[in-house]
Amino acid sequence: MNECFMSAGKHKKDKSKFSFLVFKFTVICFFLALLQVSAKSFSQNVTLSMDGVSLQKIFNDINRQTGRQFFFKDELLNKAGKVSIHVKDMPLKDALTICFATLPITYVMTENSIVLKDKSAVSESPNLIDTLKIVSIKGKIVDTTGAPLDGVTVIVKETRSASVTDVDGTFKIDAYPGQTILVFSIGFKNTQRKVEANKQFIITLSPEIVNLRAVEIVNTGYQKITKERSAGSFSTLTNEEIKNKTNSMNVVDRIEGMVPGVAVNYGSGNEKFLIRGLSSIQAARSPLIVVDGVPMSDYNTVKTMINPDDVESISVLRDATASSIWGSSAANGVIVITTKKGKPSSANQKIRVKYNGFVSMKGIPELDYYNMMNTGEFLTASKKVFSNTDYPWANAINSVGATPIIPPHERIQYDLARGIISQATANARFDSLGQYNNRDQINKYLTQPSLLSNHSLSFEGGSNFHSYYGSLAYTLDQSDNKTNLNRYQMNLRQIFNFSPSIKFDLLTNVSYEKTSKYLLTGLPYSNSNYIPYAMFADATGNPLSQAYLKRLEEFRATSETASKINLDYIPLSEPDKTLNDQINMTSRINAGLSIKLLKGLTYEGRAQYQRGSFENYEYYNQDAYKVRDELAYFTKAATIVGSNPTYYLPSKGGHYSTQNNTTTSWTLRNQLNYDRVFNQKHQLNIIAGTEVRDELTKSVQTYRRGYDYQTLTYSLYNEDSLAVLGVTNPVNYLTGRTTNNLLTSKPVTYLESERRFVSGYSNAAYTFDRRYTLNGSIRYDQSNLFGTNKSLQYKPIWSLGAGWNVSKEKFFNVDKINNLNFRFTYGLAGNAPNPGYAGPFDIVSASNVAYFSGMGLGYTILVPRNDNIRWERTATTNAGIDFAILNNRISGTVDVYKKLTTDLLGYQPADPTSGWSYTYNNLGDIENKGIEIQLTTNNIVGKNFRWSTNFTLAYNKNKITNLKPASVLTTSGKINSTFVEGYSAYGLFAYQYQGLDANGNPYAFKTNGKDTARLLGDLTANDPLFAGTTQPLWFGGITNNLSYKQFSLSFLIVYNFGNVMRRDVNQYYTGRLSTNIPVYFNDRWQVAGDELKTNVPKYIGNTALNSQRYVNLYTQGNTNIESASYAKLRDITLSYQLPQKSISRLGFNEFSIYTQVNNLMLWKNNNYDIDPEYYSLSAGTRTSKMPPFFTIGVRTSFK
Amino acid sequence: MKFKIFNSINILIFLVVLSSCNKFLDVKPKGLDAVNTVDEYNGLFNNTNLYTFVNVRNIPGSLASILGYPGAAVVMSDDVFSSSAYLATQPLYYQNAYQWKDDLFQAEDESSEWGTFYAQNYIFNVVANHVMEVPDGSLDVKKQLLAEARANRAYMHLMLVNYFAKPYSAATASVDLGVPIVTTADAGGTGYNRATVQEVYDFIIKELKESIPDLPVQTLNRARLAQTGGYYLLGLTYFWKGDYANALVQLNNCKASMPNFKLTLSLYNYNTAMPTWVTTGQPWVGASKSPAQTVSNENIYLKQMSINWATARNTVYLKPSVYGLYTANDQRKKFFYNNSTANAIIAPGLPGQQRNSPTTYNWGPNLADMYLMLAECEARTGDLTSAKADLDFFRASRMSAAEAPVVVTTQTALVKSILDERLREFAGTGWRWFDMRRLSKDPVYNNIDATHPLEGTVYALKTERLTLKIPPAILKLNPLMIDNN
Repeated sequence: MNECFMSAGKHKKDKSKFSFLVFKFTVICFFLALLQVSAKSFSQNVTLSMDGVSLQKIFNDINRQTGRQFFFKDELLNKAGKVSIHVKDMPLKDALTICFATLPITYVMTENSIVLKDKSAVSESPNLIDTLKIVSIKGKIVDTTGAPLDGVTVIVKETRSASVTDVDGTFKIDAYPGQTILVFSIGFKNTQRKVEANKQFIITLSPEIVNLRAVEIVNTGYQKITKERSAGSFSTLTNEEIKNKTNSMNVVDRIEGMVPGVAVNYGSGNEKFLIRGLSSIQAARSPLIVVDGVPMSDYNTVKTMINPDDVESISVLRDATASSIWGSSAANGVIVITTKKGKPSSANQKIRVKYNGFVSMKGIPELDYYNMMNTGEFLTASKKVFSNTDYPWANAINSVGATPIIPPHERIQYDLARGIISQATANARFDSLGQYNNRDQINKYLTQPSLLSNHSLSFEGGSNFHSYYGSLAYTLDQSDNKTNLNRYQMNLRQIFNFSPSIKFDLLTNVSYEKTSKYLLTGLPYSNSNYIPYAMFADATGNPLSQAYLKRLEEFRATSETASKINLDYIPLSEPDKTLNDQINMTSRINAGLSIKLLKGLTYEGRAQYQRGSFENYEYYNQDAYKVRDELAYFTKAATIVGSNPTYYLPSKGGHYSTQNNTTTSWTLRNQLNYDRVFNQKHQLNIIAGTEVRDELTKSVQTYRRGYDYQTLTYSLYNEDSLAVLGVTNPVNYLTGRTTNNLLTSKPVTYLESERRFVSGYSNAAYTFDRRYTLNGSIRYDQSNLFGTNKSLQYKPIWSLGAGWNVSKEKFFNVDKINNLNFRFTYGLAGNAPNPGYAGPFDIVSASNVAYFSGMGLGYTILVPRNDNIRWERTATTNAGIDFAILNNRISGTVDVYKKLTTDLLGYQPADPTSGWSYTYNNLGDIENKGIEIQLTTNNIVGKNFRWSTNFTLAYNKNKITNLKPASVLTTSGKINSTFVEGYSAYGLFAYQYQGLDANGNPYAFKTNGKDTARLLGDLTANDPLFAGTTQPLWFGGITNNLSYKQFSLSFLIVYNFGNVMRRDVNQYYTGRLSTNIPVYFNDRWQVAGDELKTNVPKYIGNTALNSQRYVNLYTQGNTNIESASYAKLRDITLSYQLPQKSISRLGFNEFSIYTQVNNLMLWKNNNYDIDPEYYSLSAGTRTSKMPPFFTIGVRTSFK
Repeated sequence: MKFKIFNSINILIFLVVLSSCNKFLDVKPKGLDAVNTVDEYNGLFNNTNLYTFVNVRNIPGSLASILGYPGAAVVMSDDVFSSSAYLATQPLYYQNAYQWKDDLFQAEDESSEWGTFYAQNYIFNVVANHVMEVPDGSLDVKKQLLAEARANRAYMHLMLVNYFAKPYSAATASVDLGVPIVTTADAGGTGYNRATVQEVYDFIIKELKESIPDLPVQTLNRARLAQTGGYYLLGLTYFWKGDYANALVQLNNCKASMPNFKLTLSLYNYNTAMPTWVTTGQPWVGASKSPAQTVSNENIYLKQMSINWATARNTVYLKPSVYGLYTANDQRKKFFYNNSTANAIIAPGLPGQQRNSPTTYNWGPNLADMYLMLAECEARTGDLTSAKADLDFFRASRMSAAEAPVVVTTQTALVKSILDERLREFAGTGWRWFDMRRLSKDPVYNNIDATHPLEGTVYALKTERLTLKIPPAILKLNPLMIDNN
């Protein structure tokens, strides 16, 4: 197939309202067959590639290639002006059709000459056209949703007269009835229609599914620019690609696996999103998130505010040229989210309405994943480890300053050891405990099936003057811990075109979230390590007491008598004694004004005001255990028998706590855009602007005791005395108390922080002949960030980039390669010191300590004066290639980068003589190197069956090249460090474990691999060896989209390779057995000879004897380092689009239903059934694991 | 032309924004602050970390972490001994300290004996350096804060010079190396050098003498230094110098100013108090219900030392010879218990006594030491009557009235009985270490028992080890600094 490129040149209609689109690069691909005319065909082909030249020049070239002469009047050529043409090996007649498509010229071809004629003259000539009257046809081009399409080329096949549609999709063209109109537009199937008299055309274009990345438009938050005009490293996703990801209602989560270079860590510990590796240790590490041109304070606000259905596109800016316009906060990459704008409606459709909805059934956490003991195993273990000599009864009930607790499994054994009961009774009591297993009750009473459901209704329409897009959304998120969230979102975006040169847009976005929790506080254990026989309800569902897990029974009896307070604890009755509510309301108004000042010069102003309020309260009435229990700690027994005890806290009324946070932020931006094309060859785009930003956060927390919820009153108590003197000889001892029970809670806490920024920025892009591109940007930021030296803030952040599109060179003549573009960029980004971390003053925090009451506030110096701190600087070098081959069937990008962060901010040692043993300072360097690949292939493009693939893969190698630690690295310090000089960030270090000795105690090798070590003291910091990093080295995803007629199937496989984790091993080696433990405990060394069979050290009851060995040699040994690589089927979606005919009658334009299954594990590289997404890789502990889940949803659009 | 317009508009916007930008950026975020006002300088003293000798690491946005305590004195004192099983659970430098080794610290150990005092010194320097420049506040208040800072700064240097320099000897003080005198707050400071012992003591005495008149007359809070505490510190300085005549003057000043105490300042009568402090049937918890140091009536100025790590955790035991000094009815015996507590099992009933609660002890100015120092100064300067009166008065608060009066006639016997009383009163608190240093030069009253047994080995205290060596990390940072022998 031949192809041609035709630039609209001077004849393009002025679209400067969208100034960033002034030069709209139009690709017209079509089958030549459509253009066949009745004349006999010529076999002679031509190849032309010229931009902005006169027709004369083109004719000379054609003359050279074909020998044909041109005949024309000079005035005709003057009318034509300059044109561009790019055709390759194309029949001459077609090339000429292209050439004259938008010119007022037609031609007649003879055997060896071509005669040019004025088109209007031809139209009037009766000998060419029959006697039918010429008509001026008005028409409109819309897409399948009815949205008008602008910039679409319309050509009358017979006369070659052409026109381009306006912003509202309308066009006007002269043609005779019976002639044919051809319509071409990128991304849509080519269409032709016969002209009928007196009929207005509405031509609906259906989408052509081809690779659209060639004309990708990137939104940096400050400007939109076609990707080919920037050398930066960008990736863009459209709504189409993220709309069906039901794994999360946070749209940022939905980019996983589809954008190269974005690592997503679901396991606990590391940053959730890391773009191009870790480039800071103690300053910000996460990417900046920008919504509609304004930074959004954090990731969670995106979820609250942004309905994913409203998102038009997400751009990820990775290198310096792409992101440095965001200045100092761009070092970790930028994610730019753009929401939808409305398009004017067509005449016969006032408003376009869509509904999308889905329900995801996510199930309950898999308790079995923790591999905990069942009751039988637990009691067996308990019998084995119990020792009345290691833990004598007298000590167990008398731990200093703590409430004694003896759970039933120990109580039986103490009673037996103390001779209170016989062995037979003990056995009987064990048997009775052994009947119970609470796992089902935990699932039944403490959890609920998790469910996520979303309904979103959107509408758009309007006129040329005013257009709008709006949506209403409702989300129900029922979490497995019985927390239920209801979210309502409203979004309306309007555009007012006051005149061709003045445009105003207004976005109003409100979100309301209400959360209610199941307040079962005070549970003595977590769901994962609950003592397995402790039941929550009897067979008939009546709640059971678990007071025996809170206090020794005798102690409780004494306390109850002395205090006259009921200290029973019935977990399932507790939530009834509480009330709670959490309301989060956030709204933002974003307005923009665009004024066209001069040709190519536009002023753009943008303002956003955002306000969020979070209100939360919790109320525990006076019967709640928490209230009764605390009262007992501040009660003194009556000194005279029969009289009442002394209560130091209110004995009536509950605990009422509130938290109110408000966040107010505003942004004001003034920007000038200059966008011109000179002589068809020089494309220049410059933006420059200033920005002012303010973020104010306020918080008030209150805590009242003795509160009556109904009457809003509370009792007073002596906070000062309880905080300073406390209560001597109370009924209960507070854990960790030294002498008296002290009350340390604060009745009211105020927090406030305000950050202000002033920035100036500029960005310029120059492209010559669409072949050579130069980019540059610069930005200054200044802030009130407290404690930073203002003179240090005036550091420019800048970048430079260059691009070369080889495939547009004349000499480039490779058939199979459609596009080949080289990019190279370099630039800086940085991190300012966190506010209040360093600066030219001593920075203090205030505290109001009861002890100093009457002496004024207290101030603690947190940060000493430091005049020499520098910004953390990240310099990124990026080289990239964009390519498209085999007729655009395969396209992709490859980026190679090196990121060098210097002057890392953090703590480093100082001379303690100065008063500080460390200071916050510049302490080291990090290097990130990597490669990112994205490939898009259209594997099968058939009439009914289509299959395309998007593949991303990234490699990141991180090394901390230099790091002055805050304190000297000790052996155990290194094992627990994630940042050590000379190694990757998030490194894991392990002992060289050698096994167990004949006594069942572990030993390890030192660095040299010979000398053995048994105690921590035998080792130095050199001995633990680097075992890898918990951050994946290779990561990415494959998306496949298949469609057959009305069915489509898509699935995303994500993968993370090359990282490691600690295995979850037995951690219980000494002391009393007081929580449930994993079954791995049973693998421990028990009798001589076991050292040949197992690696797990023995249990030693006596804590002091246990310290004569070092079990971490095993638990943190290299034998317990496992690969954390895995691949997961993140989602598989099958959707079916109901046939147009059947739904049309029901009033639908489109109706599709889909089902989705998420999170099927495909492959993992460990033998312990560890899912690295439900795991803390560095700690080696399992976290709550959810099963794969199932979703069903519909998408519709109404007629 | 277009470019000109473009530029001029842009520059215009830029200028408008920038001109107002300084004002805009001058808004100070709340929560954190720089120290600007008299109230803020005053507030620097209202810091709970300051009333404890603890090496704290503050980090904005997170909880302060404790790096350690200057507690080497507790294990180095000659009134205690240890067993290897327990000693091994302590950091290596405590194990070394118990054995009076030359080098306590590893190459890069954080020495809290050095760091704690200099860290608190930084805060006092911030006040001393800048409080007089503050525009607001009355001159009197500023002078008072300056005095409080200077006196405290002197106090920190007193502790340092008594850890890291030889005991004061008038003959050699001008050549003996002391510690760096640090009087400016500079976290980036480097290149420190040691002043002589004489210079350090001169500095301490000058600072205290000059600041006492400006200190508040009335003591409003035990954690804030007023004149009573100031006199005490100056008395202690002379006392540690062995200048008992001058010490006596200051301790009498201290005693005379005691009525200016706004809070209760008196000795507890242990005969009545102790039964309410202990728990019947639980001797192992000690006097766990005794008042916290923060509210104890006996404290003049609070600098408490955590001894929990050393005592309740079984690291050190009172030597039988010291325990034997208590008479049967001495209430202080109830602080001790001869069996291990909850978390220790292996070697119950070592032939020694553990000190249990209270778990902190006030190393700062307190009445017990005030009376004992006063009595000793009086006895040494020949006023035996006053000495005996003060000693008996003190003893009556610790034991039955019948046992309290001492029966001695000679000056030597009286001083010795006062020194025995010091052993009894300060047993297991580490305060003995500073007496050992003072008495090591004393021709008559040197009562040091220079042995520490450990599983059959007996470690002996060399004279030069009354002085800690400078921590290697400090030497490394200050190459010109000369270490102790």
